[in-house]
Amino acid sequence: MTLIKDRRGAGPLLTRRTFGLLAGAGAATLALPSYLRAQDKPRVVVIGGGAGGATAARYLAKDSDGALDVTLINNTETYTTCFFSNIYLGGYRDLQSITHGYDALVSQYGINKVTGTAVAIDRDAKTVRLEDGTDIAYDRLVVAPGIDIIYDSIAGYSEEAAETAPHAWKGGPQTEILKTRLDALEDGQNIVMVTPPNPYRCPPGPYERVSMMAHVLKAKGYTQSKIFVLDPKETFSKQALFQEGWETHYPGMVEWYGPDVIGEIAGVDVAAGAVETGFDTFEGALLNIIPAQRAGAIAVEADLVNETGFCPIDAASMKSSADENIYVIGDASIAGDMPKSGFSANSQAKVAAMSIRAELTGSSAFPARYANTCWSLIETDDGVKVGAQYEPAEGKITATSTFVSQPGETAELRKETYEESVVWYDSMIADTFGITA
Amino acid sequence: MVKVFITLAAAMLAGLPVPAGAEEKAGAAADVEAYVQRVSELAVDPAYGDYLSSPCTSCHGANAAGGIPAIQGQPAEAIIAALYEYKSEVRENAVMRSVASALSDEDVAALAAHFSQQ
Repeated sequence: MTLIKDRRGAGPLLTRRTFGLLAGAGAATLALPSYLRAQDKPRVVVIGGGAGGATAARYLAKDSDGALDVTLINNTETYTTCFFSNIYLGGYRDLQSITHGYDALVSQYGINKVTGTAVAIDRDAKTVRLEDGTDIAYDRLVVAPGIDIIYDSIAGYSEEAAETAPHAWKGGPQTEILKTRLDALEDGQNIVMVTPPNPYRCPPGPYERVSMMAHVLKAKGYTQSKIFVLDPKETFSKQALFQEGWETHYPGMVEWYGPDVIGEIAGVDVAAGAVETGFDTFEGALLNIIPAQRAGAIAVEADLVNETGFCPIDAASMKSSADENIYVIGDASIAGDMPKSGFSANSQAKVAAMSIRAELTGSSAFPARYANTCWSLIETDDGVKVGAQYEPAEGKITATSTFVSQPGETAELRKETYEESVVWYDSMIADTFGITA
Repeated sequence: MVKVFITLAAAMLAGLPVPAGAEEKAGAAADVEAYVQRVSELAVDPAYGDYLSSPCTSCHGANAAGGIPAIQGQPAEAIIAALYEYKSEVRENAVMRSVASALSDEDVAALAAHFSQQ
């Protein structure tokens, strides 16, 4: 680890150099000029640079006016959002438009961005270890690693198999593989999709994906291809809306089967392009296998998860139930009634940032408020949404008012709903990464 | 909505015909004015407004336009009136009705002060 070159003004310079000191550590630091030595600024480290982590880092830095030393650890230089990746799949956007960097967080907010993988947390010493052996000290830690795919939850599936039969449930290379394979299909070739059991990232996501894949096939004039959706769940998010949309826009193309029909999903044979179920074997030229999920590996490694594989938190603050110096936000957390979504993660990050600032800087603490909206696109200009407001109640994050689009809405309202989602995306990216489109 | 209800109740008690359609809308408009007046006078904590505004900016970016309007820099009265109309379900939009239903008058005052001063 070397000192990171400063790109900002005089004030925040100290923050970045301080980080260099912390990261570099060792006896050499004693020889450094006093202004490079550790300050008494409280240090907040954020693991994970997605919707939760990046938002937390930005709000911590923005609202503390330089009183906190904020470090954001993410294993990539850029982040491709999983939200709107279906819109990319449908051909409405390119991958670049859903890929974002951290430059604004560094240059405008004085956040120390570390590109690396956090492999361990020493909760007693309050340090995060990176894979290169560097230790980064914290006073408070935000853990926002998102989900990890449990590959072996489906027999025959693996990380290697995902190169051929992508899950595409994390934005980036997987998304591209799915898009390439989708675009290469010929009329008459089928898609077999396996959807995940609860709880998983983005409840309506698999079904929006079905819609977007159907849109691509329909737009090419295909009439013979089918999409088989094999679901371990008896019901799914916005089911009435999606099924109505599939009937209307893609008649005869989508066949959804729940566990009452197919029984268990017995396994997948990627080379043969087959998914075996208790009912029948489904074959397709494209397999999209989305397995069960759990909190990102670092949360498991640090023993922040419970038997569900996700992290219990205090609904009033997002503080980990396992450690008073650690907050867990986003998909890795058990957030009560809130779904695992980018919007939820962004919302939880603000509550965590407010709570951390109150603890470390003495700023006011306010009652937690959370919000989420999940928009989905069924066909061009046919958007639907579901969402709620939330507050801590009965020991969990509890919905206080909910809403969902209704079957049979006018085309005008559906178009407005889609247009909302497009504006939301840009606002969300500005709010998360500090980037103004 | 409370005032509309009171107006209606008063009309019924007085044996007057219950207003419908246009009269109701006129009543709602007068009600908005009274609400704006009352909420504008509430004391606000700027730090609370800053915090409370943070969920809004997930959708209402500074450059938002079209599907979701920018709210930064709008007059406080306009923000209070809009939130009241979502609360009382005069204005359409499922997200905003849900948002507004969770806001107290003090919350509305804090948000209006926050966004009008940006």
